[in-house]
Amino acid sequence: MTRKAVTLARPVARTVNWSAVGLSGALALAAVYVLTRSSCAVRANGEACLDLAARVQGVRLGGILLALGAATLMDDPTDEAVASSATGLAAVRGLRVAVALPILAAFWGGALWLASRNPAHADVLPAGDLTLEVSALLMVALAGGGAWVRRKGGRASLAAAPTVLCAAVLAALMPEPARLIVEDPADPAWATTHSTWVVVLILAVAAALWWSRDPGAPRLVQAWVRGRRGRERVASN
Amino acid sequence: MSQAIRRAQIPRLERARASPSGELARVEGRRVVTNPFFLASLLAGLAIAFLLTRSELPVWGRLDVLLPVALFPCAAVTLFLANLASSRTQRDEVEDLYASLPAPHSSVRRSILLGLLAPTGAAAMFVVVIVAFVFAGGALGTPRVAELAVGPLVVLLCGAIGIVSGKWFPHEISAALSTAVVALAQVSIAFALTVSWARWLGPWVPASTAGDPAPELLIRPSAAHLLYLLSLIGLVGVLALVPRTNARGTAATAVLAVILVVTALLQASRATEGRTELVALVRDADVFRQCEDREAARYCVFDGYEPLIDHWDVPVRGVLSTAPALPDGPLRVTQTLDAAGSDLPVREQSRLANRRGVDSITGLPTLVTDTHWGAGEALGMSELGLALGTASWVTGLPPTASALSPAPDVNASVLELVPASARDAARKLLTSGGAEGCSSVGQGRSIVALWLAAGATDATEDLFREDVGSPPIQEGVFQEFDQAGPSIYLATGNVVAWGKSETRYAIQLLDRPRGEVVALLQDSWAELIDASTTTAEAAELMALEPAVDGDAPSVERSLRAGFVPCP
Repeated sequence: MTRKAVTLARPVARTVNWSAVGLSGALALAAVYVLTRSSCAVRANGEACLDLAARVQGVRLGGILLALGAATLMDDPTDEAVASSATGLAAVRGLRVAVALPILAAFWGGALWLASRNPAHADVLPAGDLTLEVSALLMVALAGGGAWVRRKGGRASLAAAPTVLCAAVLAALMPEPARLIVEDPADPAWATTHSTWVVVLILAVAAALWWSRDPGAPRLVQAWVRGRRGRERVASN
Repeated sequence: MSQAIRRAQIPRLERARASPSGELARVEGRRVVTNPFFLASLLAGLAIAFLLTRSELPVWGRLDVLLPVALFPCAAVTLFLANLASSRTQRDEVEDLYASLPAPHSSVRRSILLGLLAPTGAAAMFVVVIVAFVFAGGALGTPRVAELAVGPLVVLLCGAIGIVSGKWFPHEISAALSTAVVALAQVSIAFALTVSWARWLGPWVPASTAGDPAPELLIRPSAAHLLYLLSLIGLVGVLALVPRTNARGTAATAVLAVILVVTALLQASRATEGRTELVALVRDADVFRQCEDREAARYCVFDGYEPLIDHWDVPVRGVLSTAPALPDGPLRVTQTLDAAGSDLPVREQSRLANRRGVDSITGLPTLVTDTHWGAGEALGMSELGLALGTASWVTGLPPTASALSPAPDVNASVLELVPASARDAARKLLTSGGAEGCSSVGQGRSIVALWLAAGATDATEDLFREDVGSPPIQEGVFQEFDQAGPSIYLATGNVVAWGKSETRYAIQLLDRPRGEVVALLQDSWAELIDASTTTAEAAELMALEPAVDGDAPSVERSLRAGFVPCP
């Protein structure tokens, strides 16, 4: 399996739309830079000029832009040509994500570094939780793109990119019991919302895998029914 | 037949219809406005407009600035659809097919641009409907067309940006990416820039980046901004149409860029003019205010806000008509302009903050209201706030913060109520002017004041029961204030801190027939409103069930939290 992945990595990498990933990554860095810069380090009363909540919001917006670029990962110009190959759809898509992951991680790391670049900011950015949020958003995008391709065909990013925006807006508007966005990491609700983000991530991964099933493979329920009938037949014989 | 004769024979309208751009524009425009996402965005806009108007009496000076926000979903969807239409040929790889058509490919993009008039028209209709609806609901003031026009123009601008981004970056994510970038740019320019004129470079300019100031204290060069927006739309439109190598296109772009810079400079110069008039408006406020006497109350409002007197009079009359006796002189209710976050110089803003609560002509305490008044579910909050101030005045509690000023005579009356051991702390608090408010805990008259205020109107009674009946209070007029002890309530806009046991007694009174309570008050009024009558004595006078609160804060603890006893 590993050998196969290594062999496929180069040809798969050639089909990734690096310009879209690069453009959105650059925009993400620019946005984080603009939103987290402050004219002063510390105010006269000792407070930081830019509080932690503002920096968290800046990083989140950068994450949305990055996820928009990552939404193109499901676009495979060769999908029809290689549909009949032995490698499954989920494996190819997984490989596309894996190939782009170092670049996305580099942009994301850059965004986190930009947001915490001022040494006067004593509060540490909750990098892990923010990474969880952006990962969930990315997986939602991939799931949306996969669903679109399965149902309508064509380019996945046509649906994946709007899915990112809609998911971000919905996350911001979610009411209290299912709240997803907390501005201040010091807020007691921060931990609860990030448990919800874990659930969102798991569901999104499951949905992305579900929509990446091989189109030629029999449906799960049909396969189960067929297998059961077969077992019954064997038993009766 | 020559070409000229043939053209002359075809009526102009038909010629226009025969133009491929015109025909295509009609189709493109219809595609946008009949798109389910566009229709959904208008519904989202309606929901936003409802949220903007449901909890407050609409004031046009504030609402016409906010209303374009309701069209943001519509602008985002228009950007999306225009982008997808613009990049359609490249995404579908049918450029060669289009090149074989008699109409040039540029006419397709021109038609998409012309087609944007359809969503812009729909947005304008949306604004007209909302304006008519708000007018019917009784809004204060007059809407400004230049402010209302921003919404439809933002829709047009976003559509043009969508075409340009689709032309330059014909990719599936181009629409989403440009929507996100435009939204980020709007937010960054409007809220992150601290220079007042620079905020006007964004398409929509919020009233303020901090607070909710009165519209009268804002400098808004709306007409100049409209010109700026139009030139921005023109520039983006030209960029959408002309090929990059076209000399005429470059010239048109350059001319429009110059116009854009000129209009930007024009609005920048206007955005910093007129501060002197604003200072005059707050310094000589009495010149601009009109006063009206109604029974025992005197209301003073700024021009255009006269209908608010009817709204204020409801809770005030509710209290005054129930009280068995009233103090000397009329109750003064004066409108002020919310200055926080306004375009007034900062020094002037802090001067105003220190002067609140005193009538500038007579120097007497006055209840202060602003340009806001609740509506719908929020009506009770506005009414209860004003009713509490009125009831405080009726029962001799300080209606405003002016009663806690560092003046020596005020000090003396407060210090009499403080135990000898805590007098130094109280004196220090008063002379430094650092008193947050005064505590009525343990004073019997506060039961009467709370009952009078709560019973002023149906909305005040409902809110009072809801607020203090089911703690912890999340949102409402009353807020729990733990620093002074677990048993204190602070009321928004009110200087008096109320004890929890007193609110429980007030609820007991509310549960009794109104006539019975009024008769009780008439019998023992002088004793009940005496500052030295304790809560327990007042409860006994009115035959109330004991509602002793073991956690009532001591005077010392209240002083540490910034509360002196109410004089």
